[in-house]
Amino acid sequence: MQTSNNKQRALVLILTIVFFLIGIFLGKLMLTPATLTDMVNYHTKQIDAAGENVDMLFVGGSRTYRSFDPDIIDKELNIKNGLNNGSPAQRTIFSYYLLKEYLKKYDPKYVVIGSTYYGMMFEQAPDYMMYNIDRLSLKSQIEYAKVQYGLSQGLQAITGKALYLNNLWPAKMIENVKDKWKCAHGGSYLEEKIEMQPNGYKGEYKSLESGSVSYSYDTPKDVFREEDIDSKQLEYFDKMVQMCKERGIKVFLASGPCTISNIYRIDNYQGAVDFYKNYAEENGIYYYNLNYLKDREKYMPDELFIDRLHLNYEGGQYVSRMFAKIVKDEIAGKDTSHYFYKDLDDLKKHVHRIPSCACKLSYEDGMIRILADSTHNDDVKPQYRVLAYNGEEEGELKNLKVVKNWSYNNEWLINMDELRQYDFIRVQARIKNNNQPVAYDDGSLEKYKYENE
Amino acid sequence: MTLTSLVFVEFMLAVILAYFLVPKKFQWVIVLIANVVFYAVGGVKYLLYLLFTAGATYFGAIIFENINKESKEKLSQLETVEEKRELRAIYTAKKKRITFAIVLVVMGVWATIKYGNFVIDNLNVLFKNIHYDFQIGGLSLVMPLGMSFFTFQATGYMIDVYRSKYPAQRNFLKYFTFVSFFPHIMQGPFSRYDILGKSILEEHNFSYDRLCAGAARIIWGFFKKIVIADQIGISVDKIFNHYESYTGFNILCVIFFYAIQIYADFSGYMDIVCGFSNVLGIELQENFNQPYFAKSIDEFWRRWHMTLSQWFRDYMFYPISMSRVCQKIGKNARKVLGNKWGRLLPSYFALIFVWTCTGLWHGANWTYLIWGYMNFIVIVCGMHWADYYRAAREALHIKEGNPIWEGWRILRTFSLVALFRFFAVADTVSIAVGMIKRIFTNFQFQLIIDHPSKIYPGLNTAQFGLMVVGTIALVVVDILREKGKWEDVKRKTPLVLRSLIYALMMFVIFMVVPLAFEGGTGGFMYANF
Repeated sequence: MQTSNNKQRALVLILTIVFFLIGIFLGKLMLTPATLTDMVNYHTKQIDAAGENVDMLFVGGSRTYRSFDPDIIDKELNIKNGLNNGSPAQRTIFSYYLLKEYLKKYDPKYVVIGSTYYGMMFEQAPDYMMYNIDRLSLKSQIEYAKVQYGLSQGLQAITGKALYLNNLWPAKMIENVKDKWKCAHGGSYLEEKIEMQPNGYKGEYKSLESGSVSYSYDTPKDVFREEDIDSKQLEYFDKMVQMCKERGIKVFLASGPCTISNIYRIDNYQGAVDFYKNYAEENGIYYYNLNYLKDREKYMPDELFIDRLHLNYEGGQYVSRMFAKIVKDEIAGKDTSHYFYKDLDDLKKHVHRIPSCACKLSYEDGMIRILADSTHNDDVKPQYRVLAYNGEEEGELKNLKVVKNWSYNNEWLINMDELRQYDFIRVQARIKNNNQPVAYDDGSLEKYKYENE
Repeated sequence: MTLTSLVFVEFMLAVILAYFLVPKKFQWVIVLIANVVFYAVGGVKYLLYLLFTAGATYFGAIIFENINKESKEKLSQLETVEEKRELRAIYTAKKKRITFAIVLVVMGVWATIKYGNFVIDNLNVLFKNIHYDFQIGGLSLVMPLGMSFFTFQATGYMIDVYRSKYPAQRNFLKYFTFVSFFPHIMQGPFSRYDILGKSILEEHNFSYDRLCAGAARIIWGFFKKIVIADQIGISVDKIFNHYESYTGFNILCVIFFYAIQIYADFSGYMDIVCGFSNVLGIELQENFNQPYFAKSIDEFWRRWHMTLSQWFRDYMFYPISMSRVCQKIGKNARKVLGNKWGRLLPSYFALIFVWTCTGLWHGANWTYLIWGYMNFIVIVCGMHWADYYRAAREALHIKEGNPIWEGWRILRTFSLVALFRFFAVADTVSIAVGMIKRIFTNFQFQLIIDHPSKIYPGLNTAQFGLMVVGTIALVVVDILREKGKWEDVKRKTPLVLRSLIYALMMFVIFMVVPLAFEGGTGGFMYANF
């Protein structure tokens, strides 16, 4: 009887562990969507099967995989199998492990490391790691997780947090499995309005309206300070660069572009640029800040972005062509400085608009207080205007009313009764007598509409 | 080190391993080391408070035991009743003086840290109102982890020895192991020395049965805390922190959301600590008995945080109600107001102290005091008008045990408990009143119909759905426990299904638990009390 009871208990324990592991496996299969990782993994399998090499390798965050289309660069430089291994929020330590693993298999001529102003200042959020971790072998996953998070957190991250709560609906689960199947057997799947290529490049068919990039009124600017650089991140950055140099690989540090508005919202942005520039000079490698590409207001307007940080498909294609030209000239020993503005001040001289605007609404005893702010050059005095409307229909604002006309004022107190019939407030900012698009930001009136009704 | 962090799980496993690997006579030493390590992680300097409280009550108990021994010896030498009575009175007075001194010091330290700033703030408000230009500076003292729990527990031990309930523990390290027992130091239960202390010091063999039962209970505890409490807590926090941005309907919902959150949080914690202790073979008292099935507020407090209620009953209610002062009050009340008042007034008198202390024990805020008095009023009304309620029920021909009537009583009690908690949780009385007011002035049910996701701000539909499913599971388990069928159901559940359920719970916990660098989900709620 005792033996039988013990057998039962042992069986419960074993079955529980087995079911749990099955759950994790099924969860990864059904609850995680297909991502660029699936496509890149498929593509590298094809390269390996063909016994070919990867001539150019990219590592870095989202601005890397959205800014560089290896197919375009391959053609320009006459190389093969360029692979963009950028992934969401990829930070330096992960890049190091990724590069290390890929350099075991391939012998690239060029490595491009995506370099952002925040790239070495703080650690990657564990959630984001989940988008990328499957690009590493299990051994590297554990090693990386140990270094970045500590073993227990890392293991938890590897096994557990790859699961997306939003994908609990059966239809979505089936879709995930189908997409992964397509990736594994064809190297592609289609997501509406998104181009995802097996070479790791991703571009969206989406466009920002000029001036629509906004920011939160209360959020302070980001700051770059050299003393905030994380020593561990820097250590692994050095290791990455040295690893490439030892193999005779040419290293390019490249900052993928973001919107002008985003640059204006970073204190000491030039400090970050100088940091990478100096690093590149000291280490005999190359650095390009593609935010400083000349005539960017003409060739990289807001319409070529999907949000304040990332290029869209068209933008990525443009930057890829420019990057390819610059690298080609660099390799040929030509001067490439003429492609770029000298520094941030030089860039700002060529910005003749208000890049972005922010507004804040608050309710005070039956009144709505509206505060406005904007990013602009120091020698500019912006004007503001307040509109009220009821949503958008076919690109037009419904029931539009000009509540306050253009003025240099940036704070208003308006009776809620005047606004109760509207759903939104829009604050616009412009430079007077300038025919550039206005910047704007919207605030919702919904939660205030029911006050004291 | 929060109980739902991976670090704590690793710590638990290490303690279990060490506990059963060492010779049995040293098992209590492992527990002692684990206690010190656990507490020191929160800050070594806070160990001093723990040591001080343990030290003061340890010496107090030894002094009482010595006095008891001495008085017994001397009494046996006396012959007349008067002589014995006189001697007893001398020793009792001596013990009382010592008790008073030690309790004053131990509770005084606790009260200063916990209530010092509350008193100072209120004095400053008073000074301002009477136009007295003097303000007292605040104290910058941090409440050590679990101070409310270990202070009360240690004091209870000392009083038990005073009452000769059991002999004092003469080994300070063994006594300290009891006071500092790490699984229950943050949120209880309040354990009595004759149960927990005895259990810690006994030798325990490894038992696979206990391991399985303990592990299952720990998983259930994690599930309640992480999947139910933490998820619904997101919405609760959002609504409480900015109630003016939400509708009256939201506020009505949050009353019930909070009731679910606090039960899942607190009982989840209990399951984790009891499950862990069970694995070691150490007995912890239960703290919950399906409290939301209570049919009256009085009964609720016999089912919720039972060990706290028992502590106040044994160390406050009985001593006060049985005291000479109260007996005299009762006698006089009988003469003037009749038998009923004579019988009940001493209890009311004692209860007002109990509920003042219960309210303040939960927090240094007027809202907790009001919450305490709300409970007091309802309990006293229940006691006083019990006869009228019975008569009304009989007049309406409602039989005792009628399911609809019982169901109504359960719902009524749950609603009152949830509503009273409102005052406890709000930062100030005016916020609590403002929130209640908003239910009636800004209900906005139509907005919720148009946008159902506004019921659970901060959560997506999947998270809310998971929380609802978890809550249903909790209700089902509690119903089975209430009917005494839970053990039966567990036994009859097929092996494979049982394993699947455990695996599913673990899977959901993994899926929901957020990754924080410091490890673990948000802290447990009762750790703040």
